[in-house]
Amino acid sequence: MMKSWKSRSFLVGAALLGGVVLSGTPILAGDVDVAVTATLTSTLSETNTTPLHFGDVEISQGGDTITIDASTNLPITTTSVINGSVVTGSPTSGLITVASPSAFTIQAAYPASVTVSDTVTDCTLQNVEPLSGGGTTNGAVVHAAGVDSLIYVGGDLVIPAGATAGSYTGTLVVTLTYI
Amino acid sequence: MSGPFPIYGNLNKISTLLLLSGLLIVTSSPLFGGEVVQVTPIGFGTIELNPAGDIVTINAKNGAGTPVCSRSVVTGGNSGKITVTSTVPEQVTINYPENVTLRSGSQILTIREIPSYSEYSSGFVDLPGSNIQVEIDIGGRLLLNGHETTTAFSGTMIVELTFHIL
Repeated sequence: MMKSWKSRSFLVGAALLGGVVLSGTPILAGDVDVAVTATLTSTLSETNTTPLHFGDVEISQGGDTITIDASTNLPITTTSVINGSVVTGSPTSGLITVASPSAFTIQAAYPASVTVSDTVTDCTLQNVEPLSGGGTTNGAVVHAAGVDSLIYVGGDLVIPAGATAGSYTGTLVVTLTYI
Repeated sequence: MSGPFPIYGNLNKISTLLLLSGLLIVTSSPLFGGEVVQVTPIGFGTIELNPAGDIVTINAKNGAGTPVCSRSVVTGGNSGKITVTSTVPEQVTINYPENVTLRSGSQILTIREIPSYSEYSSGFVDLPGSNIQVEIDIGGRLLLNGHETTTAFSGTMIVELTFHIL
């Protein structure tokens, strides 16, 4: 009888142990660490390739407005005047060059006016936006991947009567937005 | 007086059987448990950051993939991979995180939609057993706004695997 009891006890124990294994799904769970990396670079460049230059102006009495119209976003080397001033000295539209291997659209924003001065007399550069490329009036510039984009800049230079002879300079800040 | 152990008799037989039974159970765990044999990192490659932003996608939903973007330039990179195996037939369920953060100092990037671009995010992986290996490919999407700092980012994705005995 003793033998029989022990044998039954063993069988019950084995059945319980087997039950643990069989009903134990899922039997193994764990976390796996997977490394993730990304490297960002940028070779985008924005260069003022050519300054906006109104040339040498033989100013008329009463002043004048000298215009460089780059609204077609093409290079311009001619001017128009209102009061008969004579312009020589190779005037030229300004040029901004944007280079990038990526594709996007460039929207240029120009200030309403800029002071151009010889420290004695202030002239005013205005109407830059409608007389330049890339702005709202003449449309954004589509930049193709890997091809330089060119944005030509013009404007009206208003020279007051009695402007002194000299070299006039100023800085036009153009903001480029990429969309 | 029966068998080779007349002194211990039936008690000895029972002990022997228990020992054998325990042996079977102890040695059965490695047989049932699956195993991760290799982990391949996920690389989104080197991305020429588009100033207007972009989305870089690794689609590994149906197998290994490489980074693809719509208007940026990306070189290199690959989907991640977890290789699993088992000695007996099993099933593996996988729990991916939805997002993973990559860092470079205080700068961060976020990999998103990981389950949507990875294998076996729903259902399970069948392991046929016999040490046959099965690959689980992992992808995701990287959203860039174009103003990120240009540098190298890194992070860790924690994937939970659960092995089930068939």
